[in-house]
Amino acid sequence: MLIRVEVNGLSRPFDVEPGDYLLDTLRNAGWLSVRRGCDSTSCGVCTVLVDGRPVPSCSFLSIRADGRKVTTVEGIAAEAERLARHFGEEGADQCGYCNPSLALAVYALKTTKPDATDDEIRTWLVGNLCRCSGYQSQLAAIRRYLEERP
Amino acid sequence: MRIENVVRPASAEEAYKVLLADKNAVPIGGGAWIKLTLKEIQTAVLLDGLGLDRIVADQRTVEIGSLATLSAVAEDPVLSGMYGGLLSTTCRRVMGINVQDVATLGGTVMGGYAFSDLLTALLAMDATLRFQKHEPMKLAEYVARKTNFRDLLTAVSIPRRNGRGAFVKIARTRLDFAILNLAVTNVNGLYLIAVGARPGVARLATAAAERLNEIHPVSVFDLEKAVGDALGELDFGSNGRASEEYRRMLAKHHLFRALKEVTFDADPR
Repeated sequence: MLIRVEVNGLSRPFDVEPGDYLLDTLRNAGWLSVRRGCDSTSCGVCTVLVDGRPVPSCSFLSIRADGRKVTTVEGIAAEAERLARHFGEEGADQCGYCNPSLALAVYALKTTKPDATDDEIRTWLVGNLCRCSGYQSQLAAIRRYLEERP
Repeated sequence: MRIENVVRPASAEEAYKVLLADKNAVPIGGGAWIKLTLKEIQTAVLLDGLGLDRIVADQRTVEIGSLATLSAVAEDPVLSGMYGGLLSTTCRRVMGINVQDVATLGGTVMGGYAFSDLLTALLAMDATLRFQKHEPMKLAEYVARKTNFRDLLTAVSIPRRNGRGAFVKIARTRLDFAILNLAVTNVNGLYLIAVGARPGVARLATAAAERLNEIHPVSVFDLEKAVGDALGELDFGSNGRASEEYRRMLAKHHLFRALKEVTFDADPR
């Protein structure tokens, strides 16, 4: 069935099966920054924004995205680069597999709650697992990113 | 997952008719857990766009549309002010923000999941379910029903009362399902006590609350007695997450703490 989704500001059609998930639809169309992790709603590595809210694309039926706005990390490239700079300076980055999803989740936090406390940052990101960083350096980088006013 | 057909009803009434006519039709709310529970769906009924995601408050009740996401519930200013933010706290304890943005209140309620934290909190808030066709039904009655019926949940209604509330979730990690969860409320000396993930689906400890409701003022000893009563009337069991014995021990201590929290201004110890 044909659906129309606005991905990173560009509206385009997708031919999907009713049981397809957004993760596969996006990856099959070339958005490989959307990563496959646990594939069961737990790890957050497949996170994309749907109408500005972070959702696990592995559990979001593609047909539900019809007519909605989807953002991958490419859609927030400038913000992601700013966050990446802080990640580098704080040593918060190793394998990088979770980075696109984390950048999207942090960007959503910034638009929703720019003055988030450390506890609120931790709570917001509880569903975004990282097996490398140990989280403390990520927290420091995110704090600096949120405090930086463009 | 394989879905054969998709129906996009134009109204809740049309959705109900599809569900009634086709026993194999499955309503799709947020779809957060469907992947984990179903491998094949004959007909998926999409409920998006039917206006079932609204949260409307008046003087007496707050009506939460069944398609409201857990995030929308957590962020609602009226609900955040009720029972010390009991429902908001509970929603925020369900996995991460990305799941809370997908999972819906209706999906959680109709799924009847034994691990559900929301069912426990809603029971303690005396929630009522509103359906497209059936008469409104107390959530406590719905979870205890012996027979199934087919209908479309349209909203969950919560009485707008001034009271205290407490919610406790015990889990191995923030992302895991509960080993045990419990919620208690106290509205001017009238208590509701709910315990879930025992590992059965959440239940009210009705007799324990009723005995407590007859006592004014309530002492620490009365609360200890109420905990004993609740443990006596609720069934606990073992599964891969925890043993019955461990769950009983957790319930004994955390229920006592929660009852103290909703009873006294300061911890009487």
